[in-house]
Amino acid sequence: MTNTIKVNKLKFSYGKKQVLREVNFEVQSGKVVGLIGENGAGKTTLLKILLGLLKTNSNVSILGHRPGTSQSVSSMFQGDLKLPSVNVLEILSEVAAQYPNPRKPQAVLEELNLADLARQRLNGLSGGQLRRITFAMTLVGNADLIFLDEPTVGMDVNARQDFWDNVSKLKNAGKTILITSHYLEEIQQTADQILILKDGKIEFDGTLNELQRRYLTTKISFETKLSKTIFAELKHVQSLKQMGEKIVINSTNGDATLQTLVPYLKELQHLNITDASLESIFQTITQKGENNA
Amino acid sequence: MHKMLEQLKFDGKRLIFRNYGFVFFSLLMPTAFYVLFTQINKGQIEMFSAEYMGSMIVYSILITAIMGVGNFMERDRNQGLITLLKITNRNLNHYYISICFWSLMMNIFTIIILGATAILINHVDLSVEQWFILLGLVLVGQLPLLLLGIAISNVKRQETLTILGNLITFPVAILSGLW
Repeated sequence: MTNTIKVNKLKFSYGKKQVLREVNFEVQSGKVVGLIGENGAGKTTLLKILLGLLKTNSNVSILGHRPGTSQSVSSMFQGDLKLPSVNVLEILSEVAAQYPNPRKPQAVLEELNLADLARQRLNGLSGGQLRRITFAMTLVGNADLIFLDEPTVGMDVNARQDFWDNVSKLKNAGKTILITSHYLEEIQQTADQILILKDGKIEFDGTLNELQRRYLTTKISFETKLSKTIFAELKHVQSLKQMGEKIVINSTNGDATLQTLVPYLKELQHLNITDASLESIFQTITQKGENNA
Repeated sequence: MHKMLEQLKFDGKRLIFRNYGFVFFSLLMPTAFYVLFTQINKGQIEMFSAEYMGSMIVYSILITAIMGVGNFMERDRNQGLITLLKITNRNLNHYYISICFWSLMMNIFTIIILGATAILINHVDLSVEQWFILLGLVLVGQLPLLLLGIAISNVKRQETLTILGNLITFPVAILSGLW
Protein backbone atom coordinates (compact mmCIF):
# COMPACT_ATOMS: atom_id res chain seq x y z
CA MET A 1 0.00 0.00 0.00
CA THR A 2 1.31 3.41 -0.83
CA ASN A 3 1.54 6.24 1.67
CA THR A 4 -0.89 9.00 0.84
CA ILE A 5 0.38 11.22 3.63
CA LYS A 6 3.88 11.13 5.00
CA VAL A 7 4.98 13.51 7.73
CA ASN A 8 8.48 13.38 9.16
CA LYS A 9 9.78 15.56 12.01
CA LEU A 10 7.31 18.35 11.37
CA LYS A 11 7.81 21.44 13.50
CA PHE A 12 5.89 24.66 13.24
CA SER A 13 5.56 27.83 15.25
CA TYR A 14 3.66 31.08 14.98
CA GLY A 15 6.41 33.52 15.89
CA LYS A 16 7.74 32.39 19.26
CA LYS A 17 4.80 30.13 19.99
CA GLN A 18 5.68 26.54 19.15
CA VAL A 19 2.49 24.83 17.94
CA LEU A 20 3.83 21.62 16.46
CA ARG A 21 6.90 20.19 18.16
CA GLU A 22 7.88 17.07 16.23
CA VAL A 23 5.05 15.39 14.40
CA ASN A 24 5.63 12.07 12.66
CA PHE A 25 3.00 9.89 11.05
CA GLU A 26 2.03 8.14 7.86
CA VAL A 27 -1.36 7.44 6.35
CA GLN A 28 -1.86 4.67 3.84
CA SER A 29 -4.07 4.95 0.82
CA GLY A 30 -7.74 4.13 1.37
CA LYS A 31 -7.74 4.65 5.14
CA VAL A 32 -9.98 6.81 7.27
CA VAL A 33 -7.95 8.60 9.93
CA GLY A 34 -9.38 10.38 12.95
CA LEU A 35 -7.21 13.24 14.17
CA ILE A 36 -8.22 14.24 17.67
CA GLY A 37 -6.84 16.63 20.22
CA GLU A 38 -7.87 19.28 22.68
CA ASN A 39 -8.74 22.79 21.58
CA GLY A 40 -5.47 24.51 20.70
CA ALA A 41 -3.56 21.25 20.24
CA GLY A 42 -2.56 22.18 16.68
CA LYS A 43 -5.04 20.18 14.59
CA THR A 44 -6.07 23.00 12.27
CA THR A 45 -2.46 24.13 11.93
CA LEU A 46 -1.48 20.60 10.95
CA LEU A 47 -4.32 20.49 8.41
CA LYS A 48 -3.25 23.80 6.89
CA ILE A 49 0.31 22.52 6.52
CA LEU A 50 -0.90 19.33 4.84
CA LEU A 51 -2.97 21.44 2.44
CA GLY A 52 -0.07 23.71 1.63
CA LEU A 53 -1.71 26.79 3.14
CA LEU A 54 1.12 27.16 5.65
CA LYS A 55 4.69 26.65 4.48
CA THR A 56 7.26 24.61 6.31
CA ASN A 57 10.73 23.25 5.59
CA SER A 58 9.89 19.92 7.18
CA ASN A 59 9.53 16.72 5.22
CA VAL A 60 5.83 16.47 4.33
CA SER A 61 4.51 14.53 1.36
CA ILE A 62 0.92 14.49 0.07
CA LEU A 63 0.18 11.93 -2.63
CA GLY A 64 3.89 11.90 -3.41
CA HIS A 65 4.07 15.68 -3.85
CA ARG A 66 4.82 18.71 -1.75
CA PRO A 67 1.72 20.02 0.04
CA GLY A 68 -0.40 22.34 -2.11
CA THR A 69 0.82 20.94 -5.43
CA SER A 70 -1.43 17.94 -5.92
CA GLN A 71 -4.70 18.42 -7.78
CA SER A 72 -6.39 15.50 -6.12
CA VAL A 73 -6.96 16.96 -2.67
CA SER A 74 -10.14 18.52 -1.32
CA SER A 75 -11.05 19.82 2.08
CA MET A 76 -13.96 20.89 4.22
CA PHE A 77 -13.00 23.59 6.67
CA GLN A 78 -14.88 24.70 9.74
CA GLY A 79 -16.21 27.89 8.16
CA ASP A 80 -18.73 27.89 5.31
CA LEU A 81 -18.84 29.94 2.15
CA LYS A 82 -21.72 32.37 2.33
CA LEU A 83 -21.18 34.41 -0.85
CA PRO A 84 -24.22 36.61 -1.46
CA SER A 85 -24.50 36.55 -5.25
CA VAL A 86 -23.93 32.86 -5.85
CA ASN A 87 -26.28 29.90 -5.83
CA VAL A 88 -25.48 26.33 -4.83
CA LEU A 89 -25.11 24.92 -8.34
CA GLU A 90 -22.80 27.75 -9.35
CA ILE A 91 -20.41 27.29 -6.45
CA LEU A 92 -20.31 23.55 -7.04
CA SER A 93 -19.55 24.14 -10.75
CA GLU A 94 -16.80 26.57 -9.77
CA VAL A 95 -15.24 24.03 -7.40
CA ALA A 96 -15.64 21.19 -9.91
CA ALA A 97 -13.80 23.24 -12.53
CA GLN A 98 -10.68 23.26 -10.33
CA TYR A 99 -10.27 19.48 -10.57
CA PRO A 100 -9.08 17.32 -13.47
CA ASN A 101 -11.75 14.64 -13.05
CA PRO A 102 -14.74 16.09 -11.20
CA ARG A 103 -18.21 14.70 -10.67
CA LYS A 104 -21.31 16.39 -12.01
CA PRO A 105 -22.61 18.92 -9.44
CA GLN A 106 -26.25 17.96 -9.99
CA ALA A 107 -25.42 14.28 -9.36
CA VAL A 108 -23.65 15.12 -6.10
CA LEU A 109 -26.63 17.18 -4.93
CA GLU A 110 -29.01 14.34 -5.71
CA GLU A 111 -26.81 11.85 -3.87
CA LEU A 112 -26.88 14.06 -0.77
CA ASN A 113 -30.63 14.76 -1.07
CA LEU A 114 -29.91 18.44 -1.66
CA ALA A 115 -31.23 18.77 -5.22
CA ASP A 116 -34.01 21.14 -4.14
CA LEU A 117 -31.38 23.63 -2.93
CA ALA A 118 -29.63 23.83 -6.32
CA ARG A 119 -30.89 27.32 -7.26
CA GLN A 120 -30.83 28.82 -3.78
CA ARG A 121 -28.36 31.55 -2.92
CA LEU A 122 -25.71 30.52 -0.40
CA ASN A 123 -26.52 33.39 1.94
CA GLY A 124 -30.15 32.23 2.09
CA LEU A 125 -29.34 28.78 3.52
CA SER A 126 -29.49 27.72 7.16
CA GLY A 127 -26.31 26.78 9.03
CA GLY A 128 -26.97 23.07 8.70
CA GLN A 129 -27.82 23.31 4.99
CA LEU A 130 -24.67 25.31 4.36
CA ARG A 131 -22.59 22.70 6.12
CA ARG A 132 -24.05 19.99 3.89
CA ILE A 133 -23.39 22.09 0.80
CA THR A 134 -19.81 22.53 1.95
CA PHE A 135 -19.54 18.75 2.14
CA ALA A 136 -20.98 18.59 -1.40
CA MET A 137 -18.16 20.93 -2.50
CA THR A 138 -15.71 18.44 -1.03
CA LEU A 139 -17.24 15.56 -2.97
CA VAL A 140 -17.66 17.24 -6.35
CA GLY A 141 -13.90 17.32 -6.96
CA ASN A 142 -13.70 13.51 -6.81
CA ALA A 143 -10.37 13.90 -5.03
CA ASP A 144 -8.29 10.95 -3.83
CA LEU A 145 -7.47 12.61 -0.50
CA ILE A 146 -10.09 14.42 1.54
CA PHE A 147 -9.62 16.50 4.68
CA LEU A 148 -12.66 17.10 6.87
CA ASP A 149 -12.26 19.62 9.71
CA GLU A 150 -15.11 19.37 12.24
CA PRO A 151 -17.46 18.32 9.45
CA THR A 152 -20.66 17.70 11.40
CA VAL A 153 -20.80 20.90 13.44
CA GLY A 154 -24.21 22.48 12.91
CA MET A 155 -25.80 19.35 11.39
CA ASP A 156 -28.87 17.79 12.93
CA VAL A 157 -28.90 14.12 13.95
CA ASN A 158 -30.27 12.84 10.63
CA ALA A 159 -27.83 14.92 8.62
CA ARG A 160 -24.94 13.60 10.72
CA GLN A 161 -26.04 10.03 10.13
CA ASP A 162 -26.26 10.70 6.36
CA PHE A 163 -22.84 12.31 6.51
CA TRP A 164 -21.16 9.28 8.09
CA ASP A 165 -22.95 6.97 5.65
CA ASN A 166 -21.40 9.01 2.86
CA VAL A 167 -17.98 8.83 4.51
CA SER A 168 -18.33 5.04 4.53
CA LYS A 169 -19.18 5.12 0.81
CA LEU A 170 -16.09 7.24 0.15
CA LYS A 171 -14.00 4.78 2.12
CA ASN A 172 -15.40 1.88 0.09
CA ALA A 173 -14.53 3.82 -3.07
CA GLY A 174 -10.90 3.84 -1.96
CA LYS A 175 -10.63 7.48 -0.90
CA THR A 176 -8.24 8.46 1.86
CA ILE A 177 -9.93 10.63 4.47
CA LEU A 178 -8.53 12.55 7.42
CA ILE A 179 -11.15 13.82 9.85
CA THR A 180 -10.93 16.05 12.89
CA SER A 181 -13.95 16.03 15.13
CA HIS A 182 -14.99 16.52 18.72
CA TYR A 183 -17.76 13.93 18.26
CA LEU A 184 -15.43 11.10 19.20
CA GLU A 185 -18.06 8.36 19.19
CA GLU A 186 -18.58 9.07 15.48
CA ILE A 187 -14.88 8.82 14.65
CA GLN A 188 -14.70 5.64 16.71
CA GLN A 189 -17.21 3.94 14.40
CA THR A 190 -15.49 4.86 11.15
CA ALA A 191 -11.77 5.43 11.63
CA ASP A 192 -9.15 2.82 10.74
CA GLN A 193 -6.41 4.88 12.34
CA ILE A 194 -6.47 7.25 15.29
CA LEU A 195 -4.00 10.07 15.73
CA ILE A 196 -4.05 11.88 19.05
CA LEU A 197 -2.34 15.25 19.00
CA LYS A 198 -1.29 16.59 22.36
CA ASP A 199 0.96 19.54 23.09
CA GLY A 200 2.11 19.66 19.48
CA LYS A 201 3.15 16.02 19.29
CA ILE A 202 1.47 12.78 18.22
CA GLU A 203 0.68 11.11 21.52
CA PHE A 204 -0.78 8.04 19.84
CA ASP A 205 -0.83 6.63 16.31
CA GLY A 206 -2.65 3.34 15.75
CA THR A 207 -6.00 1.60 15.64
CA LEU A 208 -8.76 1.94 18.22
CA ASN A 209 -8.07 -1.63 19.44
CA GLU A 210 -4.43 -0.76 20.03
CA LEU A 211 -5.50 2.37 21.88
CA GLN A 212 -7.90 0.46 24.10
CA ARG A 213 -5.25 -2.18 24.85
CA ARG A 214 -2.70 0.47 25.76
CA TYR A 215 -4.96 2.42 28.05
CA LEU A 216 -6.97 -0.57 29.32
CA THR A 217 -9.75 1.48 30.80
CA THR A 218 -13.18 0.38 31.81
CA LYS A 219 -15.79 3.00 32.57
CA ILE A 220 -17.88 2.33 35.65
CA SER A 221 -20.68 4.74 36.47
CA PHE A 222 -23.38 4.70 39.12
CA GLU A 223 -25.51 6.93 41.31
CA THR A 224 -25.15 7.00 45.05
CA LYS A 225 -25.69 9.19 48.08
CA LEU A 226 -22.34 8.05 49.49
CA SER A 227 -19.46 10.49 49.51
CA LYS A 228 -16.88 10.44 46.74
CA THR A 229 -14.10 10.07 49.32
CA ILE A 230 -15.17 6.48 50.04
CA PHE A 231 -14.48 5.48 46.47
CA ALA A 232 -11.11 7.19 46.31
CA GLU A 233 -9.68 4.11 48.07
CA LEU A 234 -10.71 1.77 45.25
CA LYS A 235 -7.96 -0.07 43.37
CA HIS A 236 -6.85 0.52 39.78
CA VAL A 237 -8.73 3.79 39.52
CA GLN A 238 -7.29 6.00 36.83
CA SER A 239 -9.76 8.85 37.32
CA LEU A 240 -12.87 9.56 39.35
CA LYS A 241 -15.43 12.23 38.65
CA GLN A 242 -18.52 13.19 40.60
CA MET A 243 -21.45 15.06 39.11
CA GLY A 244 -24.08 15.44 41.82
CA GLU A 245 -25.05 11.90 42.86
CA LYS A 246 -23.47 10.38 39.75
CA ILE A 247 -19.94 9.01 39.97
CA VAL A 248 -17.88 8.03 36.92
CA ILE A 249 -14.74 5.94 37.39
CA ASN A 250 -12.18 5.07 34.71
CA SER A 251 -10.40 1.92 35.76
CA THR A 252 -7.32 0.18 34.37
CA ASN A 253 -8.66 -3.15 35.63
CA GLY A 254 -12.43 -3.19 35.57
CA ASP A 255 -12.78 -6.60 37.29
CA ALA A 256 -10.53 -5.65 40.20
CA THR A 257 -12.29 -2.35 40.74
CA LEU A 258 -15.72 -4.00 40.66
CA GLN A 259 -14.65 -6.50 43.30
CA THR A 260 -13.73 -3.65 45.65
CA LEU A 261 -17.14 -2.06 44.99
CA VAL A 262 -19.00 -5.15 46.21
CA PRO A 263 -19.41 -3.92 49.87
CA TYR A 264 -21.15 -0.82 48.58
CA LEU A 265 -23.46 -2.44 46.04
CA LYS A 266 -26.61 -1.86 48.10
CA GLU A 267 -25.94 1.88 48.00
CA LEU A 268 -25.41 2.03 44.23
CA GLN A 269 -28.11 2.62 41.63
CA HIS A 270 -27.96 2.54 37.84
CA LEU A 271 -24.62 0.74 37.80
CA ASN A 272 -23.21 0.83 34.28
CA ILE A 273 -20.02 -0.82 33.04
CA THR A 274 -18.58 -0.16 29.56
CA ASP A 275 -15.28 -0.76 27.84
CA ALA A 276 -13.18 2.26 27.16
CA SER A 277 -14.61 4.51 24.53
CA LEU A 278 -12.49 6.90 22.52
CA GLU A 279 -13.98 9.69 24.55
CA SER A 280 -13.00 8.20 27.92
CA ILE A 281 -9.50 7.35 26.67
CA PHE A 282 -9.12 10.89 25.36
CA GLN A 283 -10.19 12.28 28.71
CA THR A 284 -7.70 9.96 30.42
CA ILE A 285 -4.85 11.07 28.16
CA THR A 286 -5.57 14.75 28.55
CA GLN A 287 -6.10 14.50 32.32
CA LYS A 288 -2.85 12.51 32.63
CA GLY A 289 -1.09 15.37 30.97
CA GLU A 290 -2.67 17.89 33.32
CA ASN A 291 -1.72 15.73 36.33
CA ASN A 292 1.87 15.51 35.14
CA ALA A 293 2.04 19.25 34.51
CA MET B 1 -8.71 26.85 -20.67
CA HIS B 2 -11.82 25.24 -19.23
CA LYS B 3 -10.78 26.41 -15.78
CA MET B 4 -10.36 29.98 -17.03
CA LEU B 5 -13.73 30.00 -18.78
CA GLU B 6 -15.48 28.64 -15.69
CA GLN B 7 -13.80 31.27 -13.55
CA LEU B 8 -14.89 34.01 -15.94
CA LYS B 9 -18.46 32.69 -15.96
CA PHE B 10 -18.51 32.48 -12.15
CA ASP B 11 -17.09 35.95 -11.56
CA GLY B 12 -19.05 37.62 -14.37
CA LYS B 13 -22.34 36.81 -12.67
CA ARG B 14 -21.08 38.10 -9.33
CA LEU B 15 -19.28 41.20 -10.54
CA ILE B 16 -21.65 42.47 -13.19
CA PHE B 17 -25.09 40.92 -13.42
CA ARG B 18 -25.81 40.58 -9.70
CA ASN B 19 -23.68 43.45 -8.46
CA TYR B 20 -26.19 46.12 -7.47
CA GLY B 21 -23.42 48.17 -5.86
CA PHE B 22 -21.72 48.53 -9.23
CA VAL B 23 -24.96 49.55 -10.90
CA PHE B 24 -25.66 52.22 -8.31
CA PHE B 25 -22.25 53.61 -7.36
CA SER B 26 -20.38 53.15 -10.63
CA LEU B 27 -23.14 53.72 -13.16
CA LEU B 28 -26.18 55.52 -11.81
CA MET B 29 -24.41 57.93 -9.47
CA PRO B 30 -21.79 59.23 -11.97
CA THR B 31 -24.49 59.44 -14.65
CA ALA B 32 -26.75 61.42 -12.32
CA PHE B 33 -23.88 63.75 -11.37
CA TYR B 34 -23.06 64.20 -15.05
CA VAL B 35 -26.61 65.10 -16.01
CA LEU B 36 -27.02 67.39 -12.99
CA PHE B 37 -23.80 69.38 -13.34
CA THR B 38 -23.91 69.67 -17.13
CA GLN B 39 -27.46 71.02 -16.95
CA ILE B 40 -26.43 73.53 -14.26
CA ASN B 41 -23.39 74.66 -16.28
CA LYS B 42 -25.07 74.48 -19.65
CA GLY B 43 -23.50 76.81 -22.14
CA GLN B 44 -21.27 78.47 -19.55
CA ILE B 45 -18.04 76.59 -20.31
CA GLU B 46 -17.26 75.42 -23.79
CA MET B 47 -16.55 71.73 -24.06
CA PHE B 48 -17.65 71.25 -20.41
CA SER B 49 -20.07 68.48 -21.35
CA ALA B 50 -17.33 66.43 -23.00
CA GLU B 51 -14.72 67.11 -20.32
CA TYR B 52 -17.10 66.39 -17.47
CA MET B 53 -18.06 63.11 -19.14
CA GLY B 54 -14.37 62.20 -18.96
CA SER B 55 -14.24 63.18 -15.26
CA MET B 56 -17.23 61.06 -14.40
CA ILE B 57 -15.82 58.09 -16.31
CA VAL B 58 -12.60 58.38 -14.30
CA TYR B 59 -14.59 58.79 -11.08
CA SER B 60 -16.60 55.66 -11.88
CA ILE B 61 -13.39 53.70 -12.56
CA LEU B 62 -11.94 54.93 -9.26
CA ILE B 63 -15.02 53.79 -7.32
CA THR B 64 -15.11 50.45 -9.15
CA ALA B 65 -11.42 49.70 -8.57
CA ILE B 66 -10.98 50.89 -5.00
CA MET B 67 -14.35 50.36 -3.35
CA GLY B 68 -15.86 47.77 -5.68
CA VAL B 69 -13.03 45.38 -6.46
CA GLY B 70 -11.35 45.96 -3.08
CA ASN B 71 -14.50 45.03 -1.14
CA PHE B 72 -15.29 42.18 -3.46
CA MET B 73 -11.90 40.51 -3.06
CA GLU B 74 -11.82 41.14 0.70
CA ARG B 75 -15.16 39.36 1.01
CA ASP B 76 -13.91 36.45 -1.09
CA ARG B 77 -10.87 36.16 1.18
CA ASN B 78 -12.84 36.32 4.44
CA GLN B 79 -15.48 33.91 3.21
CA GLY B 80 -12.81 31.35 2.30
CA LEU B 81 -13.15 31.34 -1.49
CA ILE B 82 -9.46 32.22 -1.94
CA THR B 83 -8.48 29.39 0.40
CA LEU B 84 -10.71 27.00 -1.51
CA LEU B 85 -9.09 27.98 -4.81
CA LYS B 86 -5.57 27.79 -3.31
CA ILE B 87 -6.06 24.19 -2.22
CA THR B 88 -6.42 22.95 -5.79
CA ASN B 89 -4.56 25.53 -7.80
CA ARG B 90 -0.87 26.14 -7.41
CA ASN B 91 -1.57 29.82 -7.89
CA LEU B 92 -4.52 32.15 -8.16
CA ASN B 93 -3.77 33.43 -11.64
CA HIS B 94 -7.17 32.44 -13.05
CA TYR B 95 -8.92 34.29 -10.27
CA TYR B 96 -6.90 37.49 -10.68
CA ILE B 97 -7.14 37.43 -14.48
CA SER B 98 -10.91 37.00 -14.20
CA ILE B 99 -11.25 39.91 -11.76
CA CYS B 100 -9.13 42.16 -14.03
CA PHE B 101 -11.10 41.11 -17.11
CA TRP B 102 -14.46 41.88 -15.56
CA SER B 103 -13.20 45.17 -14.14
CA LEU B 104 -12.24 46.08 -17.69
CA MET B 105 -15.70 45.10 -18.88
CA MET B 106 -17.28 47.16 -16.11
CA ASN B 107 -15.28 50.18 -17.22
CA ILE B 108 -16.18 49.67 -20.86
CA PHE B 109 -19.80 49.46 -19.79
CA THR B 110 -19.35 52.72 -17.88
CA ILE B 111 -17.99 54.41 -21.00
CA ILE B 112 -20.95 53.15 -23.02
CA ILE B 113 -23.53 54.38 -20.49
CA LEU B 114 -21.92 57.74 -19.82
CA GLY B 115 -21.05 58.22 -23.48
CA ALA B 116 -24.61 57.46 -24.56
CA THR B 117 -25.93 59.87 -21.90
CA ALA B 118 -23.52 62.57 -23.09
CA ILE B 119 -24.53 62.13 -26.74
CA LEU B 120 -28.27 61.94 -26.11
CA ILE B 121 -28.65 64.69 -23.52
CA ASN B 122 -25.81 67.10 -24.30
CA HIS B 123 -25.19 66.22 -27.94
CA VAL B 124 -21.50 65.66 -27.23
CA ASP B 125 -19.80 65.09 -30.56
CA LEU B 126 -16.44 63.29 -30.47
CA SER B 127 -14.74 61.74 -33.44
CA VAL B 128 -14.26 58.00 -33.65
CA GLU B 129 -10.54 58.52 -33.03
CA GLN B 130 -11.29 60.47 -29.86
CA TRP B 131 -13.59 57.74 -28.59
CA PHE B 132 -10.88 55.13 -29.16
CA ILE B 133 -8.28 57.30 -27.43
CA LEU B 134 -10.68 57.66 -24.49
CA LEU B 135 -11.16 53.90 -24.41
CA GLY B 136 -7.41 53.29 -24.56
CA LEU B 137 -6.67 55.78 -21.79
CA VAL B 138 -9.31 54.19 -19.59
CA LEU B 139 -8.01 50.68 -20.20
CA VAL B 140 -4.43 51.63 -19.40
CA GLY B 141 -5.26 54.14 -16.69
CA GLN B 142 -7.42 51.70 -14.75
CA LEU B 143 -4.48 49.35 -14.13
CA PRO B 144 -2.79 51.24 -11.26
CA LEU B 145 -6.17 51.84 -9.64
CA LEU B 146 -7.03 48.16 -9.97
CA LEU B 147 -3.70 47.24 -8.39
CA LEU B 148 -4.48 49.60 -5.53
CA GLY B 149 -7.89 47.99 -5.08
CA ILE B 150 -6.32 44.52 -5.05
CA ALA B 151 -3.69 45.71 -2.55
CA ILE B 152 -6.17 47.14 -0.06
CA SER B 153 -8.35 44.02 -0.31
CA ASN B 154 -5.68 42.30 1.79
CA VAL B 155 -6.59 44.19 4.97
CA LYS B 156 -8.03 41.90 7.59
CA ARG B 157 -11.11 43.83 8.66
CA GLN B 158 -13.94 45.05 6.49
CA GLU B 159 -14.25 48.26 8.54
CA THR B 160 -10.58 49.10 7.91
CA LEU B 161 -11.05 48.49 4.21
CA THR B 162 -14.01 50.87 4.07
CA ILE B 163 -12.06 53.61 5.84
CA LEU B 164 -9.00 53.07 3.65
CA GLY B 165 -11.14 53.03 0.52
CA ASN B 166 -12.78 56.32 1.45
CA LEU B 167 -9.45 57.89 2.41
CA ILE B 168 -8.06 57.08 -1.01
CA THR B 169 -11.09 57.61 -3.23
CA PHE B 170 -12.42 60.98 -2.15
CA PRO B 171 -9.16 62.93 -1.79
CA VAL B 172 -8.04 61.57 -5.18
CA ALA B 173 -11.37 62.56 -6.71
CA ILE B 174 -11.32 66.05 -5.20
CA LEU B 175 -7.62 66.83 -5.71
CA SER B 176 -7.64 65.65 -9.30
CA GLY B 177 -10.61 67.92 -10.02
CA LEU B 178 -13.08 65.21 -10.86
CA TRP B 179 -15.86 67.04 -9.05
